[in-house]
Amino acid sequence: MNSGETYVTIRDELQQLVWLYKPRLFIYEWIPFDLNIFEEIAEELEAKNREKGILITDEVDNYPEKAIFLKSPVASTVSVVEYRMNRLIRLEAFLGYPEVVEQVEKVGIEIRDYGGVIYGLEIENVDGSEDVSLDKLARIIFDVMEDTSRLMSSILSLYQRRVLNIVYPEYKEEGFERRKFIVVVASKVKVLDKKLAMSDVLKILLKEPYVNEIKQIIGPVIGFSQNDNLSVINGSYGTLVIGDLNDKNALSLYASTKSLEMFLEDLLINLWMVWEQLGEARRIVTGGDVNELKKVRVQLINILSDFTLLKSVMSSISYTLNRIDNEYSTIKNIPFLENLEFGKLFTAIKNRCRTIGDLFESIEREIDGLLMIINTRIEEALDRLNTLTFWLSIIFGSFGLGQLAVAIAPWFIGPVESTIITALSIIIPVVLGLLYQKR
Amino acid sequence: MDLANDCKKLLYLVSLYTGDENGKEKWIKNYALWSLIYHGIVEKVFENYDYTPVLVIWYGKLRVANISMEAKAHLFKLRNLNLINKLRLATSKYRYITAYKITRKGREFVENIEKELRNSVDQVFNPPGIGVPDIVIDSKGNPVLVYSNGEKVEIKILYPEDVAYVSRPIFL
Repeated sequence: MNSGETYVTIRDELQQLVWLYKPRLFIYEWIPFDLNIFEEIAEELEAKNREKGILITDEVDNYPEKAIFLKSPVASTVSVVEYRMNRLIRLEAFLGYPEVVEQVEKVGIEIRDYGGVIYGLEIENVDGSEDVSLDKLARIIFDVMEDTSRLMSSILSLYQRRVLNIVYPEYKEEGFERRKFIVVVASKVKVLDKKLAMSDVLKILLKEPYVNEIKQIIGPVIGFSQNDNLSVINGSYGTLVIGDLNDKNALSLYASTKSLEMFLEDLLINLWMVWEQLGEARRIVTGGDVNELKKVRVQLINILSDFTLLKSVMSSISYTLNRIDNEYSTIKNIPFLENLEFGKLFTAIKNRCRTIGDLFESIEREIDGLLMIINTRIEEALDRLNTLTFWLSIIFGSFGLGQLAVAIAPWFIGPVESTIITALSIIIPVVLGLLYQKR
Repeated sequence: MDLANDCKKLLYLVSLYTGDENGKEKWIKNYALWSLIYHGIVEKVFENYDYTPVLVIWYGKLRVANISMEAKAHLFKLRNLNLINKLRLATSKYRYITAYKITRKGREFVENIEKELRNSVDQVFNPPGIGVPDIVIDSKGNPVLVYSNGEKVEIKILYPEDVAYVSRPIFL
């Protein structure tokens, strides 16, 4: 949405209690990256050439062999601002189309080699005011989250898009989203038109009804800290910082780690869903007929294909953990990080990764086992079918032979001998069939 | 704006193939534009462009194509002057490709390009009474210009030229 056009679709009359002065918004997400993917994207964006704004679109060209591409007049622009080999790419993105309307929605995007992606923007004004209410900020955040998801999916590789599609099904559709960690930084805060002194910020904002406004932005409050110049309220999916922020790197490291934690949680949800599907598959495998088994086999093969892709993400996660560990070692003992209990968070994530690794192993073994059982059961069913076909052909063949004997034998021999020959022509194939089966 | 004649011709060429049509934007893909430029060099439309064999991803395969570095530099310049835009595009079959389109500012600039420069481009890419030929890629990936009078011209961009040389073996 273009905020400069005073385009408002709010249906409710908002009770706006808390206002931030020119809030700076940083949205963090973790996307599986490794150095190869990172450098490939740098190459695609022509980062090394410092390309002037390149337009990108999330429309896909389904006829690449045609010389001309027709598209709707909507696209976003990204320009490479900075590129550091094997480390980071900074892009300036303009959401929308540069020739049609004056662009106001400008976002900085920082892509790090280990998968941390940060979208940053300062809200200069909303409806002409530099103070932005948390009610409106919450709506802006979701608008930016949605726009940046679409923008990033036009930049990411096919592999990354497939992984994200598995973890966040339909995230490209309106109303579906990828989870991201939100950091809001503002130098001043007002409550009901009164500017708060730093010493009062936490006292007031953590009280009802103001805390509910805070929760809109950062989720349930899980911690807070305050010193002379800075107040920090930490939520389950965001952090609100009021005052002069000096430890930008520390905050960034914390938010990147939180975004990785969110991805891990969503990955885990996906894995539990796979477990549920396997439970259902196991039920069918023990009691279903061959047709059901065949359907389950197709489902399991599809699950296995997605699952193998997800498993490959673990190597990106390990790389991320190493990189975060390195960065942490350079900025350890910063009170800001200690207040946010970064050490505990990081250890917890490392432990969770180990558990997820074990879960991958067990799911893989379960899928293999189920596929083996299904294949065995289908083979058994095929064997039974083969036996049935064998006996049907013997029976019909012997009866046919008997009928032939009945028709021809009386021309050459007497009725008694004819009866014996007819009986033998029926019995002999059946006996031979039995001997073949016992072989 | 001081542009070289070849640069103006290139802009005019892009204008012939791109623009807005029935509410949709028409973009020319980089393969097609490289092919037109190569054909323009061969047909002496561009006076100072040269081409050289370069490895490029051509419809998902690494191939040798005769690409003009001078034209690439001019495309970069035209983009910096906001006369053309570049679009990065995901495809269903291959990796990303790029496409170009003239901007509104570029279209205004084209109006003022000298007639003789436009005529030299028109002779090959917009012959009077025939119009702008379609670019079709055949099954082997070769671009073909298809004129409305039925004439077809295969563009040999994927065929690097041989150079006669004499050599002797040496060792380090």
